[in-house]
Amino acid sequence: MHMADALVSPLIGGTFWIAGSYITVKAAQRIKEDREDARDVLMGVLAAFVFAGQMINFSIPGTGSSGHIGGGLLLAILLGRERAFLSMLIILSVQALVFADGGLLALGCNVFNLGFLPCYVAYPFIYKLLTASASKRSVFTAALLASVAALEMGAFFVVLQTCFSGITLIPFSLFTLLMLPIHFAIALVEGVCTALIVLYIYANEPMLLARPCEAVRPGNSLLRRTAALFVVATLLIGGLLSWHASSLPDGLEWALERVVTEGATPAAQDFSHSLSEIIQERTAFLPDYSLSVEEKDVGRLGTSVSGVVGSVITLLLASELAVFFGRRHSRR
Amino acid sequence: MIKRHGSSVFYESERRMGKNRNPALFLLLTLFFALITASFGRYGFFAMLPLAAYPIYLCVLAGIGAGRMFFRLLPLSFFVFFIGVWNIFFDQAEISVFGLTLSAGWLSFATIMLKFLLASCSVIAMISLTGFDSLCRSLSLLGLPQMLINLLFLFYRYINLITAEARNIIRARLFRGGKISLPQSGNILGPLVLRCFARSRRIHEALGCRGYRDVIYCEKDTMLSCDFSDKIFGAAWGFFFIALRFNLVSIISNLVLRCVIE
Repeated sequence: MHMADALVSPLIGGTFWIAGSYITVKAAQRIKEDREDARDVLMGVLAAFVFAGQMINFSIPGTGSSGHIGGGLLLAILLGRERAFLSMLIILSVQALVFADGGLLALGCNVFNLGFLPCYVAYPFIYKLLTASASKRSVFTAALLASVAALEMGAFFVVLQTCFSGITLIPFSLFTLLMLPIHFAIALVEGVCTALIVLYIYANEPMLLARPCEAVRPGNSLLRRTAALFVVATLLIGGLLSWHASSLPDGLEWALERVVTEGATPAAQDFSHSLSEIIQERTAFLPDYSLSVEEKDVGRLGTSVSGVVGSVITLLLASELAVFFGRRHSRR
Repeated sequence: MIKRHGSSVFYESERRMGKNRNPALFLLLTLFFALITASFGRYGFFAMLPLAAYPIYLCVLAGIGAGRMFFRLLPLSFFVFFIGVWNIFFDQAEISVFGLTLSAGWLSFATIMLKFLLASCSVIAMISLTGFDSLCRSLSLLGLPQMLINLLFLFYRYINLITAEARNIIRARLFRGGKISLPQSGNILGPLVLRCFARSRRIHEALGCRGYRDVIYCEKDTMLSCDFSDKIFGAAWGFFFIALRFNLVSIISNLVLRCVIE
């Protein structure tokens, strides 16, 4: 369920990065206040445990894709939501950095989907509410329901982030219909695993599940603040991007913009798509350079050729330079 | 002069190779690269191509071959492929390239796959070049909380520990003739978690005995240094990315065509 850099626009990626950073700072502050050193020791090893669990992939029939457990809820139950969130951040960072699973720009989205939603939404609002009686059955039911809710919310946010990024044209409804049932099956497996582990620990070392600190402050104003931050970040990034606004499309879509046939209808123009397109189109910096060739001289074919030729030449030049400098350095 | 591994000469020669530039610089550059890559439009395939110079440079420097990179990326590409391939069906506009009329969906699909390739290659090459430990140490430059850096540092080592514990439990169970099935998974996962807890406590105590006080030892002068050549290096790549994002390709192509036509 990891979002990839290829599917995220700078607006969405940047917004979630800012929101993720804010939650991280808040969580780190809260942990400092807690001073529960015993749990700090467990954070690294439990994060590694979930990481290893995520390596086990279930193949999803008919899609060519595969799914794996999220593990955010398990971490939240064992460590508390702040430590769980930071542990998920670590897991996702290592996956993005070492395995290129997810990507750097999409890290904010992934942290939100797999860290924030299970730890700050599913855990306090579903798991904790349902386990008030602390019986085995309620723990099992709560773990199952919270896992399903967390993963389904995460999958839904993947759909939202992808559609709002406007990179793909897969319709929102179809994408939702594809993602949610697949993740429902994965969530059931995750829910059962989480419940079994929690029940085992509950039976053998119940002290591990006791968290006096969280009971003191049940309020969750972070949710409201995070939502407000989203709005501010979106406006800020959107504003910054459109600051360099120009009436002409930038020089990068030129290859297509000029060669799309007159009669061809642009593809799905839903709100999210048009929003991101407007922002992307209005970032031209050098819209009317003096070296431009008149379209009448070159013609439509020429324009497309110019795009291809220009790209290939620039790639070759840049690559040659890069390889040259790389080898030169290596010889030294 | 900055000393490392007891030899300043060794460190200086490594640094000249570009292999020992400040890891945080590479991280920031790669993040900026990902941002620039993502900012290209849906049909920016040809305009994005020159960006490949950055991952190619990193791969050459890190000594990663194309085959190795391909097999690293193959399992990661399924999700992007699965989502991007729908563009072929839903993007029905027509474009002409070299006089051939094509569906715009193919171009947008190719753009998504290129974005994936560029972003993933750059990250893998970057981490191969800098090393994970150096990157963790230099992250404090970016203002990350010390606790998070410690966690990142230790987590990487704990992965092997967990794998070893899981292997021991599974092997012990199989030797005793037990089966590994879903109903029994609680009896495997539960002990695994508890054993990991116990082992992590032992490791933490052992670290404490050796002087670990929740701060990773870091040669600050070495890791935080960002000298003039580093700044030039970063600025040059940054300028290249920005120039590509804002018309460099079309300026070059128009220059070439103008020369040909006139």
